[in-house]
Amino acid sequence: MNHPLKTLSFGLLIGLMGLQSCIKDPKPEIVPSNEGELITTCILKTTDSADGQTVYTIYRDLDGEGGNGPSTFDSITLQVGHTYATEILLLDESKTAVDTISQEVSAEGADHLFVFTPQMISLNIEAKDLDKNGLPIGLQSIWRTNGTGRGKVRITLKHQPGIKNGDPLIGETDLDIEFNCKIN
Amino acid sequence: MKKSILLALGLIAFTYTNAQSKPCEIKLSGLVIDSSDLVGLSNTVLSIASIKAEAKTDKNGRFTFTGLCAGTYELHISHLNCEHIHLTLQLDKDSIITIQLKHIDKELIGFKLSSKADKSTELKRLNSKDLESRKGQSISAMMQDLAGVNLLKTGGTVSKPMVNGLFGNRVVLVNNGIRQEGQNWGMEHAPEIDAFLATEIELIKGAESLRYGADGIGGVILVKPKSIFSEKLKQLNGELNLIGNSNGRGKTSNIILGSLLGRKVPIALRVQGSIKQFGNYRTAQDLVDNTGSSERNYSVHIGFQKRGFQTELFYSEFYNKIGIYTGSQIGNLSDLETAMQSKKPLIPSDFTYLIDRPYQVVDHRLLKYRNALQVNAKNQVELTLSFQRNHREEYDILRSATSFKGPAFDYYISSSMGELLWTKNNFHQINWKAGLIGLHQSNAYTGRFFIPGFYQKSFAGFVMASKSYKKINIEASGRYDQKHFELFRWNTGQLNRTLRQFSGLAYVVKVEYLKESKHRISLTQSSTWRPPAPNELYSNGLHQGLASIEIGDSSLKAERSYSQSITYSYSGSKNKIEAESYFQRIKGFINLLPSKILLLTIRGAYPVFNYQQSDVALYGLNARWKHLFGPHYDLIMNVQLPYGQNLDLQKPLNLMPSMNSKISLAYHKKAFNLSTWCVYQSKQNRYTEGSDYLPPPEAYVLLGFDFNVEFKAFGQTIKTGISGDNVGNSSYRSYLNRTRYFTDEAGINLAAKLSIILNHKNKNKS
Repeated sequence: MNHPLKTLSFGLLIGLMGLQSCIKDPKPEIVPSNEGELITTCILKTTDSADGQTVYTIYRDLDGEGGNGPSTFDSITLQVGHTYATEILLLDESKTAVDTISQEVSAEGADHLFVFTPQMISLNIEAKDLDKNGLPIGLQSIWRTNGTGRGKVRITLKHQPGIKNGDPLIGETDLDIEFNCKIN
Repeated sequence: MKKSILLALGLIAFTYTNAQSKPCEIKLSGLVIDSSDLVGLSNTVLSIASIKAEAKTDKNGRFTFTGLCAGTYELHISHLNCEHIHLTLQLDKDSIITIQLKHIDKELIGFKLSSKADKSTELKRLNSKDLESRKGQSISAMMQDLAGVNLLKTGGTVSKPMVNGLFGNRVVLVNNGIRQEGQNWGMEHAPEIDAFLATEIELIKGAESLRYGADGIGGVILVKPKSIFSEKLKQLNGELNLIGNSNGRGKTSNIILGSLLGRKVPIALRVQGSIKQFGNYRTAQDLVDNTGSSERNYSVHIGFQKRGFQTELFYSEFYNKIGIYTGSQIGNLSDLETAMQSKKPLIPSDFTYLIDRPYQVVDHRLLKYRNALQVNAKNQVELTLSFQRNHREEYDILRSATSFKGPAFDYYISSSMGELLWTKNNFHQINWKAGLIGLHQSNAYTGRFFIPGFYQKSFAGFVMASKSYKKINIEASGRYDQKHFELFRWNTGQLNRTLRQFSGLAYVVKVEYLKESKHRISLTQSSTWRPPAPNELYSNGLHQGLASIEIGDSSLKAERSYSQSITYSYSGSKNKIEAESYFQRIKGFINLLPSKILLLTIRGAYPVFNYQQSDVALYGLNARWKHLFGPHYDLIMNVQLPYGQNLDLQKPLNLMPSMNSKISLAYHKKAFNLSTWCVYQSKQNRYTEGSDYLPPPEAYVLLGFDFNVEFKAFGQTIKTGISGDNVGNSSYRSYLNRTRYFTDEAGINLAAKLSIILNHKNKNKS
């Protein structure tokens, strides 16, 4: 019985050595090295064409989808009978160097479409900017208020790579916010 | 014990010599040979327990006992690679016997001895012949012929086994004797095992199952390759498989080659590789965009065997890339609603093999090093060390061309395992097996958070015992586990370290009664447990494919299962019947349940699903009836009736398979085989309104066939055939497919197969 036992112990030694080298696995890379790409913040910059006054309306959720809810979620307040120039700014503030997502959207305007849906409120919204194919983008828009009241403005951003044709229903939704809106 | 002869022994030849013998001077001598090549087997241990006599065969396989008295003896014969056998001999004069031992393709020696019951359970074991008709399919697809197994699918290519409605962390997969350690908690994570390596698949729930873990509360599925020690001397053995599929224009090839290098240097070597490529699959009407897949696997197996010592080294790599239907990666809930309302896939597609985002890439490597030492006739010691590394990357759709190009999810899980096993046969007339197991695991990720990084250290000990008493076989096992988790989570820029510990006992008892070797009744009772998995404890995020937010609960406790089942089998000359009924109660069953809350995000409101614990019951029936009409025809009928109920809520469990049945009619004549089959899947009516986005789909019927023929050409055996799935090209959706909201299941598929069994004998040397 001596011989096989010797062989066995020798085998074990080799095996353990082999395993040891495998176990020296790098420490779990628990640092999220890339947070993927998030849109944490949506800012509406609304400028009244009558007096040039600018108001910022902010939605901010720093930890993205899930986790905690939005830390800032403003309402929009407008004056009846006015015309506003609205600019949308999208940010990823989860990174130390804040990423301006709206610049990417602008650069790839032919793949993106903002859809504005006023709900229970008398408001007309029209995109001002056009992509290279002459289709609207919506980063710049003109808002006209027609009557007083309270309601909502739903803003969605559709990602339509290669399929954009003006149809607001196709593509993947990257952003979907319903802002409370009041027209005095 | 006598009956085991029939199972393990090919032939025993008695030659009585004429020499006159005086009492107590009888000589028993003989030869032990390998039944496959008729070569004498050295180092076989023969023992007669009653007189404590032991003999060992010499290098030619010869042995001698001398000084025996006349009488009846029980002779125990054991060889490392062969099934142990018991032989009852009546001696009144000098005798010479020849014993043929059959090589077994099993990793588990010794303990199998008394579990002869398992032999006929076709319900729970698929041999290489059963697997033949599914050659080229995924490992999960092969498992679906086991009793109680259904597939949980994501699209056409990702599937994982579900046993009586339990899946993921509740089903333990054992690949080549090693517990598979991947990211198996995910519903869309398929097992990372090359199906071409499997020559036998077995679902075990008896005492043996605890060897692989207490957490397989749905069952343990063993995927067994051909034993490396079955390689023959100076013969090149192998197989070449080529398979073409019409749906997805799939191309699959596999080659396996092995040989025993020499008798003086008893090293066996086997290499294997397989390649698979599929393009977009077609439903009954439409091509489904971005559903191609590709797979590349290889393995190397080396075995060394001398005297009572065996050692083997196995290395394999599994690599696949799977395209996910583009339309299933939806932005938010309203996208999901739009997609669900559409009858056709929203994204039109042409045929292509190219895989674009979204897709997943999985790489799984396994290194196994096993030693076994047959110390003597009764004792065997086995040490297995293994290392596994699983790397999974999931690539989402890019939001813009300048977005980060890497994977959105990127997980690494590395597991080092060691198992020391001691088998002791016939100790106080009981066969024993005891083992110690250690595991060290590290899980890391980059990219989006879904489950935390962690270290796991686990220790376990188990004991199994089995005994046969007349017509009754009893087996029992117990296991104690201790698991330590060290978890790392980021919380507002701070790295939090959490320690969690779980420990518990599990047991299984099985009693079996045999009557006239035709009837067999067995009762199994077990209590097993499973600690909550890291995703159940800590996940907190968006599940993009399902537009839902899943929130873990760090206060979850371990779940405990109490299971009992009765199995009856009848094996007659015309009819074979097997039926299993089970009742399983799980306390603290961890389940993802919809809450009434909608969580507001920048992409709209998402429904929230929480991990919660409840008491549940799973019960049902699995049955199989085989009827032989004459020598050439047979009919097989399988039926599954699974039920699951949440006892706390008094509501049915979600994602439970519905009643299903398969009938197949086969014709066999010599090397010609033809079978046709029909599957019926009923509609799942046990469903709680509002617990899912869409109610379960309608019932469906599928038809298929398999035809193959075997012949010899150029001195090789060639098997060729054609098989068809969904030949009626039905358009249907399956409740257990997670892309059922978007697309139909695959339409008709025809597969043409060619296998060449290589067997090259080296004739130059004798």
